[in-house]
Amino acid sequence: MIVLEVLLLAFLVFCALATVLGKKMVSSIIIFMSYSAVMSILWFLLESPDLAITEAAVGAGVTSLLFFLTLRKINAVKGMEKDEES
Amino acid sequence: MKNHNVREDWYHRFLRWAGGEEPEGAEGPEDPERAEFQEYLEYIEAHGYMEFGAYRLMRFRQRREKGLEDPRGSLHGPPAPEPEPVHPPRHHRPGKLRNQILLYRVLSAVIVITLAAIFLVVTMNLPLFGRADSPAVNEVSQRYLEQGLEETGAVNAVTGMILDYRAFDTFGESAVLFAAAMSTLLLLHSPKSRMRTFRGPDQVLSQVGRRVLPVILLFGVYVVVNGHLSPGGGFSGGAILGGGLILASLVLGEERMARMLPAPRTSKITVTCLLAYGLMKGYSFYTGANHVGWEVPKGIPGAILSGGFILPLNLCVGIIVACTMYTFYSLFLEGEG
Repeated sequence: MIVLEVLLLAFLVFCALATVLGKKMVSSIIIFMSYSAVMSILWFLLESPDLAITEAAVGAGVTSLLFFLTLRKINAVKGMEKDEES
Repeated sequence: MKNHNVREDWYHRFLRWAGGEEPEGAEGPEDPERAEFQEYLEYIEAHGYMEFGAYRLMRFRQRREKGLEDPRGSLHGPPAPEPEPVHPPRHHRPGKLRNQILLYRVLSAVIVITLAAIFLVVTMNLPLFGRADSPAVNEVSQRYLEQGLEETGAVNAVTGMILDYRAFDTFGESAVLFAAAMSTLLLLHSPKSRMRTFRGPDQVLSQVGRRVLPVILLFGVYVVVNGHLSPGGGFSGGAILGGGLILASLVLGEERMARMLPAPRTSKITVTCLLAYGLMKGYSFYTGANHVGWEVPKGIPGAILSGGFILPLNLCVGIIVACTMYTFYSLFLEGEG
């Protein structure tokens, strides 16, 4: 279990760095989503399932969706032009 | 290499921007470049901001129209066709730090490292998790854990805390969510914004979303309703419900969701839930904040109808959170175009 926790923590740090250092904003958001997913597993391992549920729903779900919407609003997402026309 | 050029450039500009003289004194006041720069500074004082390169190009064209010889061009022999290659137009961040990329990078690195160091030091000085002598272990948590079930009737101690002992905190949080949603509504909502459907071309995703949607909504309702029995509660279940509503809006189309849940209706639902929450917890004020004199029946711990007002409070919080999330989403989507 300790090994799993250390692995998850290392992945967490990796995700955080990749989110900041990533060049593409879309991939940064997707990495941020995976950060939240890993964080929710960690909350569960820390015996706070309430927080785990909230983290999974808010962090990985709603926040990232709002980020995506904002990115589309400032036209930072490629490949949306086709959608806009139709 | 590029950085080096930029650096020499920003150093002199920074000195001029800061209003100081060059300490070297290498460039006298009769230096034509410096005079030109002074003119440029006066020009942007009077006429608003302009790129230096664009300003030079404009001056060059003015001189050429008047038939005057470009003094700089005569210095360099043949007149330069355009002075722009000296300062090619670059896309920089706006503001005074525009040309000072290196300073910007150094400063941001310093700030981030300082913050990280502060956080690390503080974290290392925190009491160890689960230590008996940590300040978190006091009579409050002891009482919550020992008598929480008896006093609140909630099997889930966390829900018992946030919706009974600390119910007013939760009320404030819900009010903050409501205020945020209302501010977004005021800022972004326009009555004649056209609705648009983003039903993706991908049929697989859309169909899978339709199949998964009822499961997500049902799970959200389960988490809200069972908040006092199992992990979860109003906030988490409400977030799941809000995500489900957003998914519904994605796979069913905005028009249908807008007919079912228009923005006025969501705000009405939210206000009703907030008022209901306030009324349900408001009785504590009248009874001296200790529920003395009017005991709400607790029920059998573990049954679904137990825990006094915790179940309806959970429902209120869940509906508020779900409505707020959905309002954010629909407003962000609506305000575009």
